[in-house]
Amino acid sequence: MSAAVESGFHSRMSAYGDFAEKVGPQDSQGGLIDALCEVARAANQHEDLPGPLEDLFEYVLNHRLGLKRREPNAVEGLVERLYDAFEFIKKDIDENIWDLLDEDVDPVSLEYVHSLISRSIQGYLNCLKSLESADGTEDKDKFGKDSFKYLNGFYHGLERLMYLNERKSFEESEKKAINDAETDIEMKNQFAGQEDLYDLKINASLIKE
Amino acid sequence: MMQSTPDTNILIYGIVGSENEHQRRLGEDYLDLRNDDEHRIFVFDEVVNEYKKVLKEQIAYIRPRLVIAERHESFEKAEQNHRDDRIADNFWDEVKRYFSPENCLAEVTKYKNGRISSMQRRVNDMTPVEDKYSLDKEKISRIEDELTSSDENVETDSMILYRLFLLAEDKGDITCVSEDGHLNGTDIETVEDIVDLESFSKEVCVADLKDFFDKQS
Repeated sequence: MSAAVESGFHSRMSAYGDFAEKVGPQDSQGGLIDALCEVARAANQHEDLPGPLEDLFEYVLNHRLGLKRREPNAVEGLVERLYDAFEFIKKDIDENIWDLLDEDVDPVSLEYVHSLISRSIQGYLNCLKSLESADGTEDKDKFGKDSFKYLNGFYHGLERLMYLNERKSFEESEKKAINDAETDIEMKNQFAGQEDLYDLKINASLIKE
Repeated sequence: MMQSTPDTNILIYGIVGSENEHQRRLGEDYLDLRNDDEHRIFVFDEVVNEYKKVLKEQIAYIRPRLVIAERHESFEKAEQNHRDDRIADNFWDEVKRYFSPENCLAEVTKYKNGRISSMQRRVNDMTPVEDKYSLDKEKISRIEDELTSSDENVETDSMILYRLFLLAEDKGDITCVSEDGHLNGTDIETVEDIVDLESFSKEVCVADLKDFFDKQS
């Protein structure tokens, strides 16, 4: 039995994949809340759901009405549990994804997909953190816009991970696409709100330090 | 710390091609050039993606060893069944020097994320959000007409060239070395005329990566 199976990583990976697929990348906080409310009941029936994910869905089920009404206390509690859930997922993936190497997954391909998932989640965690100081509606709208790209990266990364688990390696073009997706997330982050610059795909770097 | 770990220097080896002895030597010559007194700025087009590619490949070489080292809490155990890798040897030595086997997996992951963030910050420093290099759309269009490339990136390429002149005016002489050569063939003097900066006295040139190194040899 491989280390990934033995440690339960395969099972958790499958749970994360289901979560990402069913909730999907949402481009607004309202959209995310609605999606979570829709899937919480079904997701809670998943076997071996990791603790923080279980807490998240239990919270959504217990505060469904408040969340639908966007009551501030309910939403605050949701953000806290979203943070805990994604922090757990990131730590789990950072530490245990490498067990897949025992199953002949190509190390370079795994490095690529890990990077996309890990950095996407970190970006999303930063978004959630920024909500603590968000004041008005404008800030919360920005959260939706910014968080979309990170959730999209997470979703895309997990989809690639499932694919890699089956195929064991990526073609060069597939690696490049993942690399580009990761860079795209970083570029969008820096130029948020600056559409002209966002479209500028310049990737130059000063060599002289 | 970690002087011989993946960084821009290793990137040069990766881009130039470590399989080729001649190009490896040119990479070493490039490193000497960096240390000369001219302080010419070298701007590598599209380097971030290439940097990440080389970085990930470097780490991937040693990742299986890291897994074994952490599981057995022993670097020696990890080395028993792995042949030394020509490129990642130094990196592996640095990992052993600076990290303990019990947490080397996580530490190298943190290192990878840190290097990528650092490179991205360097890119973003060059193109700040509050862009002092405001670009005239009409000039961008005229530069596009001069480019030999006709693919979908032609507008981006014209903006890169335009920015090079603004950056040179600000910072000094610039050589732009393009990893895939798509900026080559452009008459840089014509671009300079289009950009039309008053009292511009700096030098901007563009070169294909391979040609750049050939000129230095």
